[in-house]
Parts: sequence; structure tokens; C-alpha cells
Amino acid sequence: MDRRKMFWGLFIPAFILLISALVTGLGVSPASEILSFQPNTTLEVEFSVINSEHSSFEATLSAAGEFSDIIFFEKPTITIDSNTERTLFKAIFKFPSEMQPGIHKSFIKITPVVQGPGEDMFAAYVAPQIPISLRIPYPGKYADIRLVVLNVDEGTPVPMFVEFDNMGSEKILRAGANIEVYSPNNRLLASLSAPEISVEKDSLGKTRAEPSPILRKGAYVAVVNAYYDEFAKNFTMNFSVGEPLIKVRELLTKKLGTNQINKLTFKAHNEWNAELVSQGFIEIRGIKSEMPLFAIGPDEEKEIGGFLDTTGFEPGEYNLTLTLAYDVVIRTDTFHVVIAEEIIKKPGISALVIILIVLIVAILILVILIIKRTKRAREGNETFK
Amino acid sequence: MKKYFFGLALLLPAFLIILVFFVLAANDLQCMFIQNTSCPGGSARLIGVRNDTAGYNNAHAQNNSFNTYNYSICCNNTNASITITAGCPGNVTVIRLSNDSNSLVPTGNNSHVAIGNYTDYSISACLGSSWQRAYCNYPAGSCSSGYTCVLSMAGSEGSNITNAHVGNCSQYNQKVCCSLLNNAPSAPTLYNPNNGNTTVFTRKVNFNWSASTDPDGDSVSYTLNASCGGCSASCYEPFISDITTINYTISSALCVYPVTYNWTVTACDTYNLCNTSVTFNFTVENQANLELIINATSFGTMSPYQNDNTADDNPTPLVARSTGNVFINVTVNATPLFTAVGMNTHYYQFKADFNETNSFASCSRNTSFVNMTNTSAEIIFCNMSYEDANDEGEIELNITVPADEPAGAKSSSIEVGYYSIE
Repeated sequence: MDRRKMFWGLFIPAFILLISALVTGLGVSPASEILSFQPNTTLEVEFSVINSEHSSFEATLSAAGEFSDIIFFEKPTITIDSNTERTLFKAIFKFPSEMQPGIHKSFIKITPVVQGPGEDMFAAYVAPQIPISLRIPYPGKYADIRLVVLNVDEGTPVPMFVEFDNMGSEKILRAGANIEVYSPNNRLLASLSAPEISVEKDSLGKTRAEPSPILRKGAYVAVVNAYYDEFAKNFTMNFSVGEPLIKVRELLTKKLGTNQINKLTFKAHNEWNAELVSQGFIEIRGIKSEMPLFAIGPDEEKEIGGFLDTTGFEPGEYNLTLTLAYDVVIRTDTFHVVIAEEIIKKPGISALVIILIVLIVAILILVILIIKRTKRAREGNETFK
Repeated sequence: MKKYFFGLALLLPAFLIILVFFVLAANDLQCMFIQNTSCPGGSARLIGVRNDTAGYNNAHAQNNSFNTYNYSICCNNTNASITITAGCPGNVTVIRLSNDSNSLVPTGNNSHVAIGNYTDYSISACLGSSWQRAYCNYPAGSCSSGYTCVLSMAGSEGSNITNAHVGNCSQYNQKVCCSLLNNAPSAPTLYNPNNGNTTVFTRKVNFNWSASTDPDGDSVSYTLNASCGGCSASCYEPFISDITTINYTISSALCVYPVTYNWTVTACDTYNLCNTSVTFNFTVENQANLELIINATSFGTMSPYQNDNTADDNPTPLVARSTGNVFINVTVNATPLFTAVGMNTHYYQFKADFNETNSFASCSRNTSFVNMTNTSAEIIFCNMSYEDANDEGEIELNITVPADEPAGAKSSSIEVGYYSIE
């Protein structure tokens, strides 16, 4: 057999094996669980490990968090077979006679047993965690109260609900709320009232506050005065309608020079009702540069600048991406730019102004000198008179 | 005491009679002969009628497009909110009118009449309603229960159902009776998601059901209703009406386990008479899944002080794809890479980058390089999306070789942890 063919014959299967060995995938279901505390009982909950890549491996089970000491496993290690899509395991919760009331958090972690990175400098594997919430009721009447504001299109009434999570040991007979909505500059925009409801033990009750206000896209503050039976609870919550948006209206610099550091300017408009602070990145074909952090006021339009090194770029047309990261938004816009041979800058307006000023000053000095000389000559003439 | 019983005995039947009258009278069609060329407001003119002495019995009929006959058959409904309409097509043919004997073109003036399904007469007089479908029949004698007499008719040549003159309902034996009747479409049978299904994966569920049949042949539209009862107000509860197909894919995501949805489909005809399916319930599985589609990379040979990173895709960054159906937070930590320096230093750093746009939110310090640790897992992708077009992120690595790092192969295992945030 031809040696070269033999090399490729061995290399290709080995390469395919290597590639398939590098892909790692692992899922869990349910991905989270909520349990209700039952004193002096044992609860078994079944979870699935999803072998989405169909490989064979072992994984260890562990628990961490506030109540990890009451979480046990049938087996501390599970064996996942390449032919099995889902491998079940049981977590056993041994509830004591009493626990501190409230919602407690723990998680179950599934860690594949790994052999190290092997041939590669860096090798990664996935290790899912399953958050577990344990609800322990408070004695008597107790409710966790939340305001839920649904996201709707700008211009339509914004549905606002008050939720009463009955975390007490008794039924709540009457629960209601009054809400005031304020703008970021503390102007009262709307007053709402949520009709009374009753809420069963260990249940969630919701009541819609009316009238639903019509709000512009932006950030708002809600002051909630809620009550249930003989208890009152007041809280303030920030909420927003829509997502913050800095709109890049125009890339002002459309032509860049090759092999130089270019200054780029773009026009940005803050369409949000509060100031936004943004990070920015300019990128052409994987060459990225970070822009200085900038702030832009509500409804403000601003020219923002950044720099990009075009060393090594051939002259031509390119797609430039401008990524802005602010609040919870990362937004990318793409613009068409031309990179030309090194741009030799003609004297700008500032240089012209300086030249003009120098010229005016020189003319002024000349005029003063002429006036002085004329005056001196006149004085001389007067002496000879 | 006897007096009270006597009073009750009188009042109760009276009350029942009134009740029956109102129940029967409600929403009934009523037609009358009115001495006018047009009908009063709230009623529709079926035809005009006139006899040789300008009366309305033994009369010829006139199509609605004329208004020269001094009597009109006007129809309305006992419920004023229900509109009775005349005119064809779209309504039910009550009777047909012959051509004007003096005209070469069909005009429906000075006409004899025939029953509605007698097709030799080409001009139709029709009635309909905004509430229910009109039906007409033609009994000899009297109208059957639920039907209202519109007119009576008689012919002089042996048949009373064609070539006939018109009279009021007490005039002739052959009656034209109409009723507003409607049958609801059949209740749809629900198919998908099937009842009790707890493994629905996609959160933008495709609902489908059987087509309803309408006995009257009316077109049917469907209303899909999926509700989750005691769930949070933030859970989407679709209520979609005017669906004309037998499946519908919702555009917003439903909540996942432990929320259970009940769903029904209501089929309604054009008169808004409806039938609702039985209720099915289902749960969308709560599944988190992360795949490392590139889980290894190497920087090749490097010298002390030398810095390199994967931001320019050379060497390639690690790439993670979220293939579950919930938003997740993704964390990283790693075993030490260098021996000369410890972890949590600038010699070994990571940051997040998009492999698909908007695959994660900027809610953590993850867009600039930060130090890798081996003690605590740091969030790299916050709110990572599971939507197909936006579910891939890059784990960028940045390393600087320490000045006094001994030569040799260097390696680090990176644990990519994740957890559901829903």
C-alpha cells in the first residue's frame, strides 16, 4: 500500500475519533425543583441525566447549599451508557421535625469523572447543577408579595399583577393592594388598585391592579402598599417597559486608512427614559477594539468616538460591527466601510483657524507699527514748525 | 292559609305562562303584511304585494327592487338586537317570483310565486338574520313548531306551490313557514399536546385538533385557550380567537414544569354558536442542557512574557450551545495552567463572546477578560438563551506566560457548570 495513503487512512479515522471525543453534552430534567417541607418525612424525587452526546461516562452526585445535609442519593455515582438517552437517579430528602421558615436554596451537582485535558492545552467538560427550593411555612399568616409587570408593546395598557405567595400555616382571607407608578424623576404617573382575593395555604394568589396604565418605553418605579388580613407590607420596585435602547443612527466615519489607527465616530441616540452607560466594541473581521465607557442621557443624541487599528488590512470594502453593551442589552449593528490607502490628513478646520488668527495678529501688529511711525513723523514735523 | 294557597295556585300558572311566552317569544322571527311600500325601521321587506282591488290577499308579488305595491311583507325579530335582512344571495330563499309577463327580461314585478326550491322561477326573495340561519318549509295546513308563517299561497291550475297568488297566513292552506335555526359546529377533538403529556419540549407549543363540522355548512373558526390556574402572572396563557386552521403555534413561550396547563378549543360558527372540546392538560418539561461544540483548544508553543488570546479566533475559543428549553447561567472554573503563578491572576483569564447574536445578557462582568479561578465558579454567560438562533456563546481565553514558568507542556481542565434560572 502507498505509504501516503496509509498515513491519511490512519489519520482521518483518528481525527474523526478525536473530534467526536471533544464534543461534550449533558442535560438534566427537571432542571429545577420546588419542594414543600413536611416534618419528619422522607421524600424521594427522581431526576434524569440526559446524555445528549451518547457517550459513556461516570458522574458523581453531590449536594451543596443551605439544606445539603438532608439531601442523600441512592448511589453517589451514576453510570451513563452511550446507548441510554436518559439515566434516572433518585435524590432522597430526609426532613427533620422542624426547619427555619422561609424559602431555602440548595442544589444537586452532577460532575462527570474526567481524566484531564489529554493532548490539548485546554479541555472543557460540562457539570450541570439542579437548583432545589424548599418552602418551609411560617407559623400563622404570612405572605411573600410580588409585583408582576407584564411586558407589552408600547402604547398598550401595561398589565400589573400583585401576587401573594401564601407561605404561612393558615389561609389568607383577604389580600389586596394599592399601587402608585412614578417616573424616574419621581413624578406620579398612575394610581392603581388591586381587588381583594383569598389565598389558600401553600398557594399563589394573583390579583390584577386596575386601571392598567399606558406607559412609554422606559424605567419606572412602583410603590406597592399591600395588605393581607391584619398585615400590611409596603415596598418599592423598579420595573421597565420594553428594553433599554441606544440606537446607532449613523456611522459618521465611512472611510478608513489602511495600516494606521483610525478614529471612528458614530451618532447614537438614547431612546430610554433614563441615562445609560455603555461599553462598546468595534470589529472588522475579528480585529476588535474596545471603546471607552460612555454615558448618554435620556432622549439624548451624542457623537461617540472609538479607535480601530487597521494594520494588515488590504484596501477594500468591509463590514464593520459596532457592539454596545448597556444594562442587560448587548446590541450589534453592522455598517459598510471602505479601507483605502493610508489617508493623509489635509489641514483640518482647526489648523485653518490657527493660520487665520496668526495672519490677523500679524496684520494688526503691522497696522499698529504703521500708525506709530506715522504719529512719530507727524510729531517730528510739528517740532520743526 | 287557604287563601295563600289559592293565590299561589293562581299566580304560579300565570307566572309559568308568562315565562313560557317570553322564552318562546324571545329571538323569534315575525312577519306581517303592512300597508306601505316600504317597511318600518328594524324590519326587512321580503316582497311587495297587491291584488286587483289594491288589497293584499289573492295578490301578485313584487320583487324588493320595486316599491310601487302598496302592501309589503315585513319581517323582524322579537329581539330588537337581532337584525333581519332581506336580499339574495347570502340569505335563505323564502319564495321565488315569476318573470313579469309583460317583460322579456326577468324583473319580478307583477309576479306569481313558487316555493323556494322551485327553480323554474329565477327571481328569489330571501331572508336572513344576524343571529341564526333562516330555514323555510312549505307545509299544507299549519306551520310546524318553531316555524313562523310568512305568507300563504294558492294556485288556480291544480298546484299551490307554483304559479300562485299570495295571501296572508289565514287565507290559503299552503303555507310558507320560516324559522331562525342554527346548529352549533361539533366540538373539536384535541390531538396535540395529548392529555397528561409531561414531556412537551418546545415552549412555543404547536396545538392541533380535529376540524369541526357544522350541520348548517357555516364556516367555523376556533378559539384556543390554554390556562395555568394558580401559576404566576408572568406565565403566558394563550387565548387566541379567530383561528381558521386546525393547528396553531403560539409565538410566546409557555412556563415549564411544575406549571401545568389546561387547554381547550372552542369551535364557533358565523352566528357565534359554539361548542367546546373536552379539557386536556399538559406540562412543558423543564430541561437544561449544554453542549460544548468546541471543548478543546491549544495555543501552541509560547515564550515567557508572551501573551495570546482566542478573541481573534486564532487559536479557536471554546464554544457552548444551550440545547435545553430554559434560560441558564453558565459558570467556569479551571485547574491551574502554570506552576510559577497561582490562579486568579492576569496570567490566565476568560471572557464571554457571542457565537450567535444575543445568546446571553450582559448581566455579569463577562465581556472583558477576568481572572480564572480554581476555587469558585464565575458566571460567564448570564441568562443564556435556548432559542435556536441565539443559543451559542464563545468562552474566550487569554494567557500570558509568566517570566519564570518552567518549560514543558501546560494544560488546564475547565469545568463549565450551568444551572436553570427559571
